[in-house]
Amino acid sequence: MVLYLAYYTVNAVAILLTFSHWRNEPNSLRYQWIYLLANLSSELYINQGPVKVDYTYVYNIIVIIECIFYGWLVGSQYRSMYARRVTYVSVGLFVILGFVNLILLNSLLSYNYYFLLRCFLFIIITGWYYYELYTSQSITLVTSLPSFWICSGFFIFCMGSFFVMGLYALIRHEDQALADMLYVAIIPSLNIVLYTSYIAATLCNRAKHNS
Amino acid sequence: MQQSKAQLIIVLLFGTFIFLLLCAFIIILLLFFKQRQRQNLTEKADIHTAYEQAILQAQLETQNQMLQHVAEELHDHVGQMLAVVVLYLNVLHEETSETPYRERVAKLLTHTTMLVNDVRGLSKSLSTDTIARFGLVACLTLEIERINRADRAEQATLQVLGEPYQLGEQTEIVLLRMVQEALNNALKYAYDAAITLTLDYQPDALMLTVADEGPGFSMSEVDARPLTGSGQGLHNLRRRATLLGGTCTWQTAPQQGTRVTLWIPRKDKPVIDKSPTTN
Repeated sequence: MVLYLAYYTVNAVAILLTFSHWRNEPNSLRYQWIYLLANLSSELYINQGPVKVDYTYVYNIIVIIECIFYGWLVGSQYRSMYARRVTYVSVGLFVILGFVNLILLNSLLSYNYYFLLRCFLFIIITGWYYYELYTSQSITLVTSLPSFWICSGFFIFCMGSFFVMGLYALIRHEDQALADMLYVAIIPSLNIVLYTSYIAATLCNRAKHNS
Repeated sequence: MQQSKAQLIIVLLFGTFIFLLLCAFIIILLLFFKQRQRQNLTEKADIHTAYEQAILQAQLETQNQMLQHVAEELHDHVGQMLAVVVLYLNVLHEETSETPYRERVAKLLTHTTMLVNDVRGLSKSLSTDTIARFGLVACLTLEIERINRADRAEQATLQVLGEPYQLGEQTEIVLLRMVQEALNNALKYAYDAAITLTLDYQPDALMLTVADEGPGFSMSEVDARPLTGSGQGLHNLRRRATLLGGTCTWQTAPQQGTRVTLWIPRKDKPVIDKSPTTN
């Protein structure tokens, strides 16, 4: 419960910070608060709602929103136009797949596969972002780049949740208590890391504007 | 059943741990690499700047030595010879006072005296000793007087704003040469139009402006000139200003005159170090 409380707090702080500094941000960062707000609202809605209801559709919607915003953010950072195009096309396909999943399947198992695919996509596009950063001749301090923080947050989240979320439906099928225990132990912690990265991104951008 | 559950937990947690470790490794590696790269690029840029500065210093020293030599020759040789000519012309003027040549000799004497003054002025303008002894403002005043004397009109004016201060001998020599170049450009392209030289001694920087009311020029046209038609004047001014830690900017447009602004920060010690470099 403490982890969840910390997760919601960090998410709320991230919303406040990104929203209060939205004017200073480039377009791809400017509207990230919408995603953060959608995520917090959905989490609170699920947490406050009746226990017996299946909320898979909410998660499916959130993953689609997340993919749009993250794809936009990372794609806009690429120097290579080809990589940018590939990213936008992949995100587009992923969104279409998301809607197909939401409308036609909407099961926990299909959500898990969809989640795994999303982790895979995010790891690949973040990997390319890191590669471009690695080969760049710019002398800009990496930690002063807001996109670096957000990408690192997603990278850690996707790598860390790959096993737990990917196998969640299967484990739950075998042992629901075990699945829930693993989920509660790992996912909120990774979410804290993810949304802290948004806070760091906003703060480093603010420091850059103030200096 | 319990054993398989335990194994599953171990595999899951271990897998997650390995993935997170990999993740941390990639991010830390990237951070270290970028930090090292940044350090290397900064060092490279510093070396390049130091190299450029050393070259500029060598160029300036050579130029100064040459100008000093020319100034000494003008003063010691040409000036002395002209003084002798004036002496003889004075004698001739006395001797021809009762003849029809009197007026022509008088004119010759006047022009030669003016020539002597011009040569003296030029000698002072070229000499680096003048700036060491009298400072930048005095040298620029002399420069303006020289232009006006040559033009026989008040074409150029000098304005000094604020309380003048020293920028260091080497920096002031570079500045004097830069202003001379800017003034020469103004004289070359602005013809008889008025030229204003302004020295604005601000608390943290010296702002030097050479403004003329001449025909001006199009910057894009100058930038588009081929190698054979392009001058080095603008580029040299900018380079020297950068190496003094300042900036050099132009404001110009066809039929709107030209304004060259030099902004040089005030520093406690001269920017160009005269001390010998060690290998």
